[in-house]
Amino acid sequence: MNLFEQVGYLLSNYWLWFLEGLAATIILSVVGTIGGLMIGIFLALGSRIKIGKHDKWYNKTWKGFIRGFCYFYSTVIRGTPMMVQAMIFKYSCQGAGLNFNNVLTGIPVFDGWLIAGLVVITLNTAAYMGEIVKSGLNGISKGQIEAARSLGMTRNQSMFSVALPQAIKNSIPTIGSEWIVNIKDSSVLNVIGVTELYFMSNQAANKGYMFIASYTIIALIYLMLTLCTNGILHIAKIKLDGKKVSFPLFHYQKKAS
Amino acid sequence: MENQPIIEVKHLAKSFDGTAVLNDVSLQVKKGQCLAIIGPSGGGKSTLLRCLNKLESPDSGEILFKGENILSHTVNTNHIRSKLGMVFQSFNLFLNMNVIENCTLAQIKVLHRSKEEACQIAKKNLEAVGMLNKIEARPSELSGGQQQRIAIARALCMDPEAILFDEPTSALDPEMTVEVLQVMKDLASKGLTMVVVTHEMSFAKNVASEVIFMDKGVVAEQGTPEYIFEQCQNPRLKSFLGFSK
Ligand SMILES: Nc1ncnc2c1ncn2[C@@H]1O[C@H](COP(=O)(O)OP(=O)(O)O)[C@@H](O)[C@H]1O
Ligand SMILES: [Mg+2]
Repeated sequence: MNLFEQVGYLLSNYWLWFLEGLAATIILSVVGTIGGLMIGIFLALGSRIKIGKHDKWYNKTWKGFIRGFCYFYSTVIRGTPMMVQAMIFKYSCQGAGLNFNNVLTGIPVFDGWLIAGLVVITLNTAAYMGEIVKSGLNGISKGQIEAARSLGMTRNQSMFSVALPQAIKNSIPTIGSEWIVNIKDSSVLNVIGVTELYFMSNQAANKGYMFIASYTIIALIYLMLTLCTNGILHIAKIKLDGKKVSFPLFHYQKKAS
Repeated sequence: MENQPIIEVKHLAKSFDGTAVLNDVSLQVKKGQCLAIIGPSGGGKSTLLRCLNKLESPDSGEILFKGENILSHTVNTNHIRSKLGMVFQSFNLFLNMNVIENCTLAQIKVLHRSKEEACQIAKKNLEAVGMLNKIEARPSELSGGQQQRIAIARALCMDPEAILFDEPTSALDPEMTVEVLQVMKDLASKGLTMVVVTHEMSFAKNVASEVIFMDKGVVAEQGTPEYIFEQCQNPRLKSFLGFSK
């Protein structure tokens, strides 16, 4: 069989595997990106917590602890490969008596290993998102924050109403590239048995001894996924720029003209 | 206490990295007064204004707001700030919000007004600065003069006891400067208490009730506009006024 025939053979016999793998990869990248962003926001805020001169000693202690933890987390997670993190996570859970084989959800694709993978990719992405949000916050002009404070708003009120919405909006391109990275890098989660796209194609390849064909198929699927994602991000950017609406407090009826 | 000053500054001192920026500054702002502060760049005018609503913390001295020392740690800083508006050289509108949201945000968050009430008050103040037709515009769609007028309306919405202006027209071209100064003049004539750091000598001369000349961190001269612009013989002031003509 030549390459094309092999591709045809694999697709006609194992199309369901590829489809399942594709579903798992999409779930991993989407949940990992959104969940990572949520946690990343807290990491960014935590690392910017302000220890006041007049704080009580116990307030200084817990604030210092949170700041230290956020820096430590970001440094360790970004400084080690996700594949290694996944292995440490898997064997720690097994050591604690949690075997993901036994986690049953009854939903196809959504097995215990996918849940493990979701935890790993979310915690991993959070560290990168934390840095993205942090630099987004650094880019907000100090003047706007001072204006908010001069109106009597608290630090938290200025953060959540003025700085953070702008920081996130300005970071959308970087958050988008993190999503694309996640589509590709979720493949390393095969080492702990997450049945994502790479894992499934590996299985198909072994069945028919058709390695090049099988990996070519998923290379094309990955490419298609990242191109689609780019398209979605592009549309999102145009919408955001065009409408210029980010986090409206409330809506006004347009005057009839 | 009808005649108690709204703001009273006593022996205020502030230094940055060992360099004294404010040196024994004392002044009073009475209700309904429009106090203009003039002086060369780097003289400490912005720092003084920023100390008044605690955006900077002074090293020593006292700032009394309606008789209460706002530098004490027990005082509610956010409450004081909500009563002392500030208008900045660079407008500093919230870029993620439209005009009416800029004007209602702090009313809702700080004064706990309802949306409807906040909106009504915002519209009243936007009308006063001539911006009622732009309530849905984004700051990026507006000229500098329009943005500054909205910043003034935003401060007015808090029903402040006084508004501090830090060079409100320095980032504007002459035409927009005129429209903003006109709004400020109206406010002064309506009896709003104002402290205005400005390089617009015509404003200090014709609108202010009192003028302070700040130089090198001290109040070098203080008096009525006639005194400062005509009678005073201080050579520093004379050369400053000569330059700014
Ligand atoms: N945050 C700061 N850190 C260090 N130096 C400052 C800071 N703010 C102001 N200064 C210095 O204080 C002096 C007075 O500044 P400023 O109050 O802005 O004067 P003015 O508004 O009269 O031009 C200047 O020399 C300026 O460099
Ligand atoms: Mg200044």
